[in-house]
Amino acid sequence: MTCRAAFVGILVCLAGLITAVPVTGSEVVRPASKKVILIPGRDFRIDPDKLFFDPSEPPPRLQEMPQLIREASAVLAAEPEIELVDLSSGQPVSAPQGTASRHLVVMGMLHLGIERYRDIRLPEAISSLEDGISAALASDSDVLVPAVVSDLYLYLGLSRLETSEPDLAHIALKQMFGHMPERRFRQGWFPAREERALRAAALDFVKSPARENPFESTERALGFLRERGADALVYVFLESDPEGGDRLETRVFEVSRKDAGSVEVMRDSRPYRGVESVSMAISSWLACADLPSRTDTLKRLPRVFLDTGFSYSMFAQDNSTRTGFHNIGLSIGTAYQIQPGLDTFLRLSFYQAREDSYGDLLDDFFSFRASIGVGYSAVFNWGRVFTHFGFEMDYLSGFKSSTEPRCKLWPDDPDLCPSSQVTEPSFLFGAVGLLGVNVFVSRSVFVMVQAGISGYFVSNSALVDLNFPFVVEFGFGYAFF
Amino acid sequence: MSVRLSAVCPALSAALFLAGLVSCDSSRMISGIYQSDLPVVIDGVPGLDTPRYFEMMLAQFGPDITGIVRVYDDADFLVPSSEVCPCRFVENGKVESSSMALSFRSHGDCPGSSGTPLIIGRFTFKEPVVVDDEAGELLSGTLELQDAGEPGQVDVTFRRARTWRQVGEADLKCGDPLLYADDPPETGDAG
Repeated sequence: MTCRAAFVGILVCLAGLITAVPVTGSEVVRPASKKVILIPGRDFRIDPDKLFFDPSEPPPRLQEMPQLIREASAVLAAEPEIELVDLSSGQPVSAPQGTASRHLVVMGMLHLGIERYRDIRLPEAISSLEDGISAALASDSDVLVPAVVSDLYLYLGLSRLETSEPDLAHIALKQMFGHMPERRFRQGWFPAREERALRAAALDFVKSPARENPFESTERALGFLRERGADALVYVFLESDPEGGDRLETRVFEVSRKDAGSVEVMRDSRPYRGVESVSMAISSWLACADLPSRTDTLKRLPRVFLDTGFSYSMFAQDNSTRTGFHNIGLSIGTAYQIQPGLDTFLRLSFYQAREDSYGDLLDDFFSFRASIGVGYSAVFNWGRVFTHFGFEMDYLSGFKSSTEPRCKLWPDDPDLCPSSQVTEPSFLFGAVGLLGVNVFVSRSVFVMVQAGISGYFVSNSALVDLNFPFVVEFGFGYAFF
Repeated sequence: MSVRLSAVCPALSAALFLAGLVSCDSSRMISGIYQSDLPVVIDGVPGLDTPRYFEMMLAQFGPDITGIVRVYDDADFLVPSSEVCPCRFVENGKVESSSMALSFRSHGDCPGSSGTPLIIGRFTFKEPVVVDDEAGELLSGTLELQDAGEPGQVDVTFRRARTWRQVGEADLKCGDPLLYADDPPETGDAG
């Protein structure tokens, strides 16, 4: 390959690299619709005095909760950006992979427990029922199929009564109401001891606060949502208001957008006035929910960059000293991203000149350099690459140089060092070009490296003496979003 | 207007301190005050044709040398010579490696003495050696009157009496009342 071909190849590579750099400072991420699960609701309005119904009358049918759930389902389904997963039927549903057989286990343990109870093999019955409850908790059947779990607790409580464990029986029966508070019993179906125990459990349950989290813990709710790949879960329940009337309570468990490892709970409590109450509650949440169309999915990139660091500079053209002199100091700079790809910058540098090896600088001096301009910058997740072009002013405070040795030893003696032998530029003005990179070491803190060169075309002294300073800077900065 | 370093933040001072650590001062190797070991006689120069002691305050700036040559009557360098202009500025001093050459006016730089012939010195800088139980850097070489030729060369050895750090403000002045007086005479020759 000839040198010319190699040169062309390099140019092509550079062009490809430049075109591969995104010219926009942001990118848009479109998430899928919000996946929401609706689970069975519960009606905690229990009147212990009406726990048992007359056998001559048909069993009371509590239809309000199913209506409310249907309405909630309808409202959620009407929202086009909601992907509704309606698990509110209270029937076994297809479970995530690997858990499909768990509900069958629960059902099997329930039937086995009932059989053992009827066979008066109470220890075996209790063992089977407790295993069934454990399996139900593991498969989330207590949330999705609460009637089955309620049955487990019912027979567990009855078994405990038979084994003369009234305290444990009370706990089990109370749990029974917790999972299915709508349960009513035919009067006379159970012996008097069992009816008393059921009524006592109902009384205790009524005085206990309603279970607003069917999962018991938010960690378990988060696991449920993760297992099903859902964003939120809607749970509705009714309870009696101590001040009279009924209240509709709505809870939405939603995976936090700020911290995916936590769940945020939206609570809505309002007087229950029929199905429109649940419609209003769900609509209220939807109105403020982070639906894709409302979510600010614009991935924000930093807008303002502020940095400071050490700076080194030397004049490439220096006719005032024979060996040139070093300038070492500090710099501070800021850049504002006007729009993707375009930014403006301001940079201030303070230098102290180091004595040159021949001592042509008659004294150390301090200089101040300011530059301002615009530039091209590409902002990435990892940092920023930029080129800056602008104007620069360099003020040299107390700059004096001479190659005449007597001026170095007696700089203030006009007889030994005539002013004609001393060069004293103070102001230099020109253009500057910089190339730099910022690399983020955290979300906002970055390391800055940049280099550049200036060319001065205005001075209060002969420009041929001092010109074309190049600069190298290294430091740290902070990016503001 | 001049802004001093003290006005700048301490961080800048720290940066400059670090930079100073890496700076090199080899270009000031010869700087200091040198005194002749023996009295010097330069024939053909009024006042110097009798034994005098020479002291050179030299300041090196890279390849350049400047300074002052003083003439004393005593070996202790306490009594400036009263018979000649005691102060002479070094002219055209050059250093190359360890060799050095310089010149100064034979009649000194007192008023009216300009244009007198130059005395040219050529020396070699030597690292510390022990001479007469005294250690110190030496400048060993010759002094000769301009255009005098090789017969007029005088061998001389100067020993460094003070380093550059020990040179004070007073050493940088000739101290000649004729030169520094408020109303110097228009003409005159200290010799």
